[in-house]
Amino acid sequence: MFKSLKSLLDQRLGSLIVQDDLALAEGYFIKVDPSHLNAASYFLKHDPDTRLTLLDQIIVIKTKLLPWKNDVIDPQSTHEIIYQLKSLKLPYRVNIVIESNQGASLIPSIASLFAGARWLESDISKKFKFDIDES
Amino acid sequence: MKRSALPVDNTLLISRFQQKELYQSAPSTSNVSPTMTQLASHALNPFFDRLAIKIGLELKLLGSRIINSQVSRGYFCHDLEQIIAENSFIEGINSIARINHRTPIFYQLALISAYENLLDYDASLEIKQMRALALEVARIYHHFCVLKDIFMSLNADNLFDLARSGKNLIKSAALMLGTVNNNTPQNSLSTLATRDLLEISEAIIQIIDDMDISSEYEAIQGQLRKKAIINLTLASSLGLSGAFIRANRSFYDLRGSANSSIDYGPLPKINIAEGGDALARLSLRIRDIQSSALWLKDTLNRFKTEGLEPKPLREEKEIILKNSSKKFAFGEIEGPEGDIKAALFVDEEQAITFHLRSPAYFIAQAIPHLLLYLDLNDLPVILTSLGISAEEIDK
Repeated sequence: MFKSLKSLLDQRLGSLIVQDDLALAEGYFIKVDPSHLNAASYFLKHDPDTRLTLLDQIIVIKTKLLPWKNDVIDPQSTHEIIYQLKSLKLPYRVNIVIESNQGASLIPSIASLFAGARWLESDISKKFKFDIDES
Repeated sequence: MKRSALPVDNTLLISRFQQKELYQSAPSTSNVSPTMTQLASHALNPFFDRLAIKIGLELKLLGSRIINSQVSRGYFCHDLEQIIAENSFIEGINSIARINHRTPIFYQLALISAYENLLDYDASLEIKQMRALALEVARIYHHFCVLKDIFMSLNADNLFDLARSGKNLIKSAALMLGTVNNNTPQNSLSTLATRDLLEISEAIIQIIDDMDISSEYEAIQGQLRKKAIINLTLASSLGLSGAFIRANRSFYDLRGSANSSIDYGPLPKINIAEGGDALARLSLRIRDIQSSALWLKDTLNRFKTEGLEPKPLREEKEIILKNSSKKFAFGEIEGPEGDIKAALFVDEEQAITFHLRSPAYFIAQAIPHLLLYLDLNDLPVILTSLGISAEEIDK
């Protein structure tokens, strides 16, 4: 196991990926910039120390619900999208969080990494008018 | 629990299938206790009309071979999440029951767990133990119902009869548990219920033994072997859990995770299989029934030894949401078809949003993968093996 998910990601992917982190009883939460969502997801899915291969859920919540240390990174953001991932072997779960601005954000798709994300992203797109970038 | 007077946030709810009319047309909820004193009513005899949401299935064929398929609709939508978020706690427990007409207790306990976690509420050990008991009874019932459908679609009459007997037996066990309430005189019905439940557990174990040695079971295996294969990588990528994962030699099972709302004591045996095909998943259903029945037997024997008895699932304590400092909480249950998860978020205006993870959503999404290159003649049995009954398919 690792001491801190942020430090692990900082070591492997560089210190600019994780903007904030939380370690709660409900799981680890790391906030990343939307442009780094796929890199962080790919790493967490494939790294032998994490192996977060199971897509649990994608949830959209309002900003300021999670007790981040650094508050909101982008003052324009209205929502946070939580990508909940689980390990099939290790007893922990990780939530990757990105900030988004309803009606203005282009959200990267993780469907190429997690096939189950396709419907979830489609639903989010319809409801919140987020554009999903599948490129 | 006290009804929460929190305002509702309508802006955060996602509509997955836009089938609002189905929920609006469904009858209003009843007054069944959220603490599930009436287990039978909750677990087995729904007090609501089922939500008849059908799957629209479009197939592209090459001869009799399915070369492409699309699922145009699914099982449930997030409009239900909106209804639950708008409702009081009690109404929410009733509303969520409408997702699964057979065994709503899995969804109800996921929501109850989330509420309890949100409120830092610690139920008594007796309640937690009874919840585990009720869940395993419901799991057996669910699997027997699905087995019955599978065996019917395979024309396996003897196996069908065995599955039907098992289903009726476990239903009587649930009815017995459901009649245990606060007014039940001690040492009368409870003692009787323990003894009868033990006998039912033993009879179910015998039914599974009979299935295992049935010549029909041997005969039907060819119709399921190497069909609808989902390997571990694809299963987890698709968000599939439960038997889809365990049919690929993974021991992942939420019953093994810490859960503050349910106490299993010693866990039921977690079964695994290999191959990832429809046969592996069928055999897991059978093994799960066996494991749950053995666990019920052991647990009831432990109850007898320790002088415990089945208790009503009732616990009334007054809790008000605003006393909680938590802003969000999750409740997870190992359902018979995979992980069920309820998530609650409370914003600054004390408005609640509710999110539900249903295995059916992910299974429906995986149908094109499961049906690829399947012969059309195998379609009914493969769909029933996924827990989808004929009436749930549109076309």
